[in-house]
Amino acid sequence: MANRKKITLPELSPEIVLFHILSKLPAKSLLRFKCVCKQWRSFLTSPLFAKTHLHRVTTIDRRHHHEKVIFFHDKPPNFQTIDCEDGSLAKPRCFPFAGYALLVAFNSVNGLGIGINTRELCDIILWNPLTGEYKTLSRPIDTKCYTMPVMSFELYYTSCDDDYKILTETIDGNVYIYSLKSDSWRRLKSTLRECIPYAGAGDHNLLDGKLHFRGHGYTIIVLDLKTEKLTKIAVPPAYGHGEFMLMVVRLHAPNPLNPINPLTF
Amino acid sequence: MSKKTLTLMSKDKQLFNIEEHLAVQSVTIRNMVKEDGASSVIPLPRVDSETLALVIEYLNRQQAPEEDEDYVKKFVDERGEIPTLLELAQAALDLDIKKLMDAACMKVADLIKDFTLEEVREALRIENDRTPEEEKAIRDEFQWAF
Repeated sequence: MANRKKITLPELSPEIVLFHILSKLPAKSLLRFKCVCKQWRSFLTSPLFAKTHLHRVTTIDRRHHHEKVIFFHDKPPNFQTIDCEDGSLAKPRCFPFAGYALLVAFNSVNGLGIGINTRELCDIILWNPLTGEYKTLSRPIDTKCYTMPVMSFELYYTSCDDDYKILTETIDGNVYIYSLKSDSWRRLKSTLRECIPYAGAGDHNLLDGKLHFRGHGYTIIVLDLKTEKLTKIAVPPAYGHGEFMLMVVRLHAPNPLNPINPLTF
Repeated sequence: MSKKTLTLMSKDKQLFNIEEHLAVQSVTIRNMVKEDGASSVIPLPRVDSETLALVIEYLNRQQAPEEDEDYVKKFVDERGEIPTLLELAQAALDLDIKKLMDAACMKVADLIKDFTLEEVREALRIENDRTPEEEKAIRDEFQWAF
């Protein structure tokens, strides 16, 4: 058997193996391992790594997802997390809302959360409670965005342009979208005059790339995050007066093997 | 017709035979076979014989595809030494055998995730290039992770 011409293997460095190993570690280990050496720190703080790791923990491997209940206390602002598994309490070192009079906290996406100081012209802060990093966002030009009781902000992520966005509505029916990439707000043009958002509509729900929120009266408005088109869906006639709550859930068929848990959201 | 056999040569010049249809699970080997036919020695200048023996053992497995995930996990579990796993991961990366590479890296990650910094450095033979002051600063910054 003749040894044929020398075959060259692709020149891959051991760093690629290291990258793969690190991307499989839980976030808590990664924070500590920034100290291992300079090379690890530059690895672990690179945007590519952040993206790889996030993709992994959200889609492939959910074992290391530490489900935590975030516990906000609004007067004075205070913050704690409760680990859903072992009940342990923890406090982050860096808490960007400490000087605030009143804090309204909204939803969280990919480990990021937003908090809003509701006094006068407020600050909107995007915060990662695990790393302590935070960013004060630029303010919308329309001050109605922060007038109580209109304030409702929804943080979401769009993979098509790899951006974090925040949706908010004003009392007179304008919808604004913030983009973290450009750190700016823009107004969404809506042709659906009759379904302008309802003042104080705090129930935003995200499912399958669509954000659902309440419109004027008894309407539900759906924003397609990709096309940014607003549509209206019909709701059943009202049962008398009063508020209605909106909750978007995905229903699953009952599992016959587990009669105790007939519905899984 | 007898099955085609390929010969792989490790860094330390040991020869390993493997049937071609099994060897081509490695994308690297598959591409080589496609490019200039088979029936010769494929040198793997970065893989030592011990590691290559493991890779060959993995490629020769007789598992149904649906059992493959469990098999590869068990396969790396049984070779739970970090240096072995690192060599295996590197070989699997060179040969482009994704499942094996992922499993080996996953195992290493599982082993080191609760290690202290010193233990990590020792296990992966890394030199500490930080001064104690720098280390303390980072520790303080991420206090609740420690």
